Amino acid sequence: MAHETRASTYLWTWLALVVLAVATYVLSRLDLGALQVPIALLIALVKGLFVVMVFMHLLEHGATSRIFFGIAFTFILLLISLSTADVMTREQDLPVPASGALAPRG
Amino acid sequence: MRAPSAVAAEHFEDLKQQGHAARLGMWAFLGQEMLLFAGLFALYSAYRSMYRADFHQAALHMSVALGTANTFVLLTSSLTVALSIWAARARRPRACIGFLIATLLLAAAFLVLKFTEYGHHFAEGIFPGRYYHFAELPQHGAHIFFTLYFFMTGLHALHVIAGMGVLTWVLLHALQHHWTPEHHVGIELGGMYWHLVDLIWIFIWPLLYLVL
Repeated sequence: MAHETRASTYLWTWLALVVLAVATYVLSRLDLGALQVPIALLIALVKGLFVVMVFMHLLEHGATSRIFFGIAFTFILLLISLSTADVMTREQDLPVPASGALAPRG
Repeated sequence: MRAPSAVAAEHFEDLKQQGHAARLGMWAFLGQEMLLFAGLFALYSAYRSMYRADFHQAALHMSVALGTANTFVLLTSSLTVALSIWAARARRPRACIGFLIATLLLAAAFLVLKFTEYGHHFAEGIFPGRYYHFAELPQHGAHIFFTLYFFMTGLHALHVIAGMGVLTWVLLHALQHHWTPEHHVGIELGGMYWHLVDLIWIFIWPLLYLVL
């Protein structure tokens, strides 16, 4: 196990997270077109890594814990990317909702 | 200070190995929690590509101020819970208790803001599923957006409430000076659960509130 994290490391991590959150907000107000979602997700991933590595102590924990996290992360990527790729590459029109199935009342 | 109940169970070599196993088990559990939310994110991603224009209209209707305020509340609560573990390791029980109380107060603040937001939605007729009757955005895609919004933030809010329960348990033990530099696996695991709540909000916030 690595050395225990110092209080200053937590403070710097928090500051980095705040700066990244502000950056997310500012960038979302600009017109970035198709890049908007990838940029927002990229910043969220960096923020998530800070939380997982420092706050959740994955840097301190053993290699086995890192493998567990890595497997979960891999399956999340597979689940989201493949299901989105499926929908995005379909050619037919949007399905028409069955009457009343999810349609608003009244 | 009361002597900690720091005795390894029979099937472990020592406390170090027991702590290692506990953290590994927590990662397995948190990995599954992440996959649970990943299903909802996959739905969001698929429906967003199907109903791009409707999602845009619906996202415009979200309260960016409330969502952003909650982002900073949760980020700060992650810091305070991390500092409570630092305090336990540094043998500062009073600081540990203070940081835990601060975390619980921030968690409560998050829920107050979240439910205020739900109140605004309900007043406009924005409900999940078939109860949705928001006159301004009757499109099918907006309907799906808000249903997903309620499921994602609702499941997240349940985790916030569960996390507050865990942190209360950790706090009660801290009040009895239970956590010591040698024995603090419980507060560490409680903290990990709380960070998961922050981690999920890090992805919910840009996708539901900011991206248009």
